[in-house]
Amino acid sequence: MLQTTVVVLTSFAYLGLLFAIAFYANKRAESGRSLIANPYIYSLSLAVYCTTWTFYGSVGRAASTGIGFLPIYLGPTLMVALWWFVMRKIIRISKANRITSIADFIASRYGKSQFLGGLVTIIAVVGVVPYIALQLKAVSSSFTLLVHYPSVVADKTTVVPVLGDTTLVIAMILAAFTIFFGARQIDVTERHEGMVAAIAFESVVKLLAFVAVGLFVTYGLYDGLSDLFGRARQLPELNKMITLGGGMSYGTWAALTFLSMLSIMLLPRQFQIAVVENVNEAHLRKATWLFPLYLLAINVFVLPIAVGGMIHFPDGSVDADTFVLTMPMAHEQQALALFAFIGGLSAATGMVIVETIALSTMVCNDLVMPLLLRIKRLRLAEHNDLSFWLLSIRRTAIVLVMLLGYAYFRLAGEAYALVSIGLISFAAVAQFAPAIFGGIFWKEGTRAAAISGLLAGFLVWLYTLLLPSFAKSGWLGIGFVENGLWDFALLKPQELFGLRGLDEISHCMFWSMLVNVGLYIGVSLLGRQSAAEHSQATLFVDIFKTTADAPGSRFWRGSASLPELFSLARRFLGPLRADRAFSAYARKRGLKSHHELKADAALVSQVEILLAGAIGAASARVMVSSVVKEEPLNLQEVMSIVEESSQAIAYGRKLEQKSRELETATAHLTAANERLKELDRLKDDFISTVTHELRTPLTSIRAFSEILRDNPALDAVERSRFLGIIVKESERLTRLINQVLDAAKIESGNVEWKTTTVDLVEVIVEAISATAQVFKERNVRLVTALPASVPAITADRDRLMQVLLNLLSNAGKFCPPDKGLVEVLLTVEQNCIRVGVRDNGIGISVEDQKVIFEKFRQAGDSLTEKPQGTGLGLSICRQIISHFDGKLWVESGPEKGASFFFSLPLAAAVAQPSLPTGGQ
Amino acid sequence: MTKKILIVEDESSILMSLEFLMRHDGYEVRVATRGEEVLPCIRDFIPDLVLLDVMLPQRNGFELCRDIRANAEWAELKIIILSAKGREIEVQRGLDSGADAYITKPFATSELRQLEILRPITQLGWAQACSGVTFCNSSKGVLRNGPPDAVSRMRRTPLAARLPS
Repeated sequence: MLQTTVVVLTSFAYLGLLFAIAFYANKRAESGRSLIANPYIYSLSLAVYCTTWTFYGSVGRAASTGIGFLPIYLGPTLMVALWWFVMRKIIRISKANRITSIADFIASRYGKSQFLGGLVTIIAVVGVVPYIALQLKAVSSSFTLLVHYPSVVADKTTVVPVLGDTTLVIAMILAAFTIFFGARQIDVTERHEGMVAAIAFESVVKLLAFVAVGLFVTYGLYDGLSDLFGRARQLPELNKMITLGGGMSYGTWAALTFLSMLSIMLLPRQFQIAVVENVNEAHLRKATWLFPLYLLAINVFVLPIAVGGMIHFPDGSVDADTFVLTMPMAHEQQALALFAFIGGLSAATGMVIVETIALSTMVCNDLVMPLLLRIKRLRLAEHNDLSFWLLSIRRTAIVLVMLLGYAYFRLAGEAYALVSIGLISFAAVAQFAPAIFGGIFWKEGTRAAAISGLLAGFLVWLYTLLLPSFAKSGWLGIGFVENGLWDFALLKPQELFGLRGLDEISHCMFWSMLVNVGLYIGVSLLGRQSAAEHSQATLFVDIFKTTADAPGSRFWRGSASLPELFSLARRFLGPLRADRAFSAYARKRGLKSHHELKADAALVSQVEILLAGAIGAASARVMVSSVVKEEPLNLQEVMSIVEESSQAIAYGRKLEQKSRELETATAHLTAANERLKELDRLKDDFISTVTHELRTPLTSIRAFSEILRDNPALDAVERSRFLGIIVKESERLTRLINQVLDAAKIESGNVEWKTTTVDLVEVIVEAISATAQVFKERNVRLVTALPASVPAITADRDRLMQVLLNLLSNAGKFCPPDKGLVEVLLTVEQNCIRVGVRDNGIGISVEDQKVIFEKFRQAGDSLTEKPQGTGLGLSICRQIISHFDGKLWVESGPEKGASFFFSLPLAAAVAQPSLPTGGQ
Repeated sequence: MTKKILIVEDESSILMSLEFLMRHDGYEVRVATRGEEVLPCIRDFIPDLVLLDVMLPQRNGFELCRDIRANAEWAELKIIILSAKGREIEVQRGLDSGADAYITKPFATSELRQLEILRPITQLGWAQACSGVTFCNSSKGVLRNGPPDAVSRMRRTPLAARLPS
């Protein structure tokens, strides 16, 4: 047992030390040598996460669930790993918009919504004030324990009068501290260096105190960890405790880890320390491993203390939550006990101070100011300097929050509602998650969505977690928890819609997150953003893309006067600060003094941001719009702005498209022109070829005609020989003309096809007999391989004849005289008949094979320059075969002869393959 | 001394008519039907004049003409290209390859014969009045950059006027 005076004096001395540290840090900050501008202080101050709930409660949890206390620290460790991506963005956004609290952040993101700011504030206050109460309770009960030990049980029933309550005194001292170091000035974004330094110091104290107790238990009372755990293994209930999974399902582990992942970012105090008080984004990097290291250090001795306590107090007479104090007390280590108490005190005060600052800022900026501005707007506008007034509101809010916490502590006492508040608080602030994370990564999230998600999530939390905890404390009838609302079983708050098998926290998280996330996404997708929302959404999500030069000015239109804006700033920031801010802004714009500033959109938004630091984004907007003759931008106008720009974009797109079309058209024209040129060249070549072919017979005809005319004395034999030549050349001329006309006819599609059923073998035989003379003249041997009969095909008989004649005469022409051999083959394939004409002539080169079927192209060109025809024959053939859905092709190689094939589809589907029979 | 003429032509009926005409007029005639025969034949026969077709198997007339002109021994040899290729570009090509005249088929036998008979082969300008004949009346090669009317005269000929250009 310690003397009350000793404990009280030590406590006050410790608080005095805090004041001194904070004061010193502030002095340093004012002289420009910041004490806290380093990642180590930043990381230590983040450890405000570890409250008395950690300091005392972890051991308690360990005693009942083994390592079940760990998820609360695993979560943050995991989350911190993502901070560089998530927290850095939040910090950058907050700095750019002078965001001062989590309520302000959410309100600002969703179009500077006052309602949303108020809602977040209420959730935060409802969720967190009990948590503050828990801290006060921890201080109170640890104090009582220290003073009255070992008569612990008796003291629980003693009611201390409010006025004589040390806890109230401590609460008030904390309020004073918070006011001194937290509400000393107006622009909240000017950070609270003294407070942060004190918090970092407190983190060191609580860590040292806890480790000291841990070392004492492990090495003072027992012979190290192995001894301790060895003894634990002897006792069955302790053995269970130190084995994995003792008493907690994996689902619960996951839920708790997830919950604390969110809490490390969303608890108002964490947001305050990590975002608002952040000096430099780069500090995040070190914090990413330093903070988890701190968590590890403070957790190392949780199990040893719990095990030691359980061994020492096996009968359960002592609450495991108090082992940190009772273990040293039981072993007469009063100094250590006192140190442990101070450690607990530091954990409590740290949390209370930061949480109170954060909550009071929210209450002032997002709850009180909007109300005041609304109700007493005129009176406020008349004030010349509102900064003192504003400070008063904030200070009142601090005292109020503190008193609320104290009141809750007094009312709740030992109730269940207080004991379990740690996780309940976590679950409350977790409701901010969709609005915040959605808000910084997804532009489509709307105000309505954030409101409905938050509201629904909050109500589910209220119904499934907070109210049941009230009921279990006996403040409400337990009936609705056990039987469901109106005895409707599906509405049982902790087995909602029949969802069983989850612990209450997992259950609440499941349902609240389901409705929260579901509504956030659903309403966003269905709804539409206002101009202000859209502008803020872009600003938040694209924070790393914009220069943050004039945020929020995108959708502003109106007029303002410089003196009015200036006096507005002076009113809320005080003359000195306003002057400084305006001058700095003027310098940034390259002006000599702020009198030269123009009251443009950029300045208006700058003033709005300045005010946002003081009174919150939503109220700042209201204030600024009171002096700015802003032409109200209704949705239609915004749409027209958007439309204008989208029209410009569309116009640009159209232009682009046009120019692309032009390019394409040009390319097409060029290609067409090339094609025309090519056609023209082909026509030229064709005419040249045709005229050449015409001239050749004409030359002989003229020459012999003249010879006959000029030489009447020619003998009869010679005369008739010359006349014979003239006749033959005339025939040749006629043939040529006919072919040219034929080609032209097929080309223009004016051919009348006389389609009938055709027996190909019969046609081939006739064609051979028609060309027999040619082969005989050139002494070319002709071999056929034709089946006796073949299935009929549908085609124009005369045209097929024309094809065969052409192929045969070609073959005959290209065969070497005397050694020539031409084969004609016919085979019946699956669906078609294939005819081949093969010669043993000079063959056709691969390049020529590609072109011989084109009009006016002849293989002879490159070989002899002596075309053997008009260059139309094969072209005509191919067009004929194609007309009957057939194919004409050539297989050849130089010196291998050429084989021309064509295939024609069978008339009927039935194909009867038959073997070719040899024949001559 | 009998003048010697080499006729190079692969169309048998045309060759037959030319051969008849030249022999009839008292020239000593040799014929060749394939491009590759031409140079050995000239070396062997040493003609005064070559009537040269262009579209020949193996080697075309333009090439042969260039080859003949490349040999200084045959500087006195006259070359008349007889071709069914009647476009200006082809005429120009023929003259550029060293021919003394370019006659487009079909030609008038009377004029060809008349000119042959009346003038010695060495005396240029003999083909001047002949329709369908383009000639060079100075030394060879001038026509390569020669007077434009050498070709334009072609256009006035009835046949040439029907040609596409």
